Amino acid sequence: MVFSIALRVTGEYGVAEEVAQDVFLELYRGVEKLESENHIRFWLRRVTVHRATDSLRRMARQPEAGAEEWMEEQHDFDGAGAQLGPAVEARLEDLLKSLPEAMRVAVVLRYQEEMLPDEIALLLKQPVATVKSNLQRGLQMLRRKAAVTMKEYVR
Amino acid sequence: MSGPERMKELEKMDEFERSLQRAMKRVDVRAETTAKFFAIVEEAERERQQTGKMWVTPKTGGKLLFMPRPVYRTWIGGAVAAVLAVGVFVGVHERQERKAEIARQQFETAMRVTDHALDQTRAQLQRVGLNLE
Repeated sequence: MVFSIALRVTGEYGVAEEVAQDVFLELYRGVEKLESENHIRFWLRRVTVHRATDSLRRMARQPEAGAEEWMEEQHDFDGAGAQLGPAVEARLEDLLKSLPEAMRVAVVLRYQEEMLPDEIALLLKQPVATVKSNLQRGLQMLRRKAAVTMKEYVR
Repeated sequence: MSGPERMKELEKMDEFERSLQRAMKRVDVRAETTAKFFAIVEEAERERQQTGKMWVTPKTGGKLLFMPRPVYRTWIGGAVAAVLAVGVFVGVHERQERKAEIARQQFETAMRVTDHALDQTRAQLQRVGLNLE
């Protein structure tokens, strides 16, 4: 969980390892303050997201530029009914790295951690509407990028 | 997410979202990473026992004392499960001497949360002849 979140938010294996290490060391030092399994799980996810986004900012390689263009362009990916194979799924993970930070975090928590928008909102201390917007926009951007970059796979 | 709630959410997903979910399976750290890390943990624990100093200190900002060498960074962080397993065990074991019941609950909680990672950790420990018990 921790390593996977860190990896998908930062997009870098080595950085994700450092983030995960920091998170677990912090857990080690403060484990007695955590009261239950759910509390620890919540804590791990929140701290991991914060550490990973901090690392992402330090790396200064956020793919914000051009995000709006993708939102405005018309590239329809009609996923419904299409049978997408492992190759497409691998490409989707690559495309995830191109999402802006806020959308990427929301998508990771939604689809990797299978969290509901209100759970994500609680974790990130954001309004539910913001989380839903980030999810919707992130998913929309992924669909459009997929439509452009993966035509050869989905034909 | 509860069972029925998750099912409801899954039903709402289209094929693209399901593909995305499949693409985002959790990733495990490499086995060799964990194995190498255990050697470092052992070294740190030996040092701790000899010097009486904790191997994780606030001075280092939460970094392992032996971490600065970049050559190790590719694998040491990937074995965080080992840090958790050994760290939680050591911490809880000490607390058990003082407050056995509280420590037992904390240990079980931590163990449940990281059950998958700990399973791997235990296997690694056994391979190198160590036993958490």
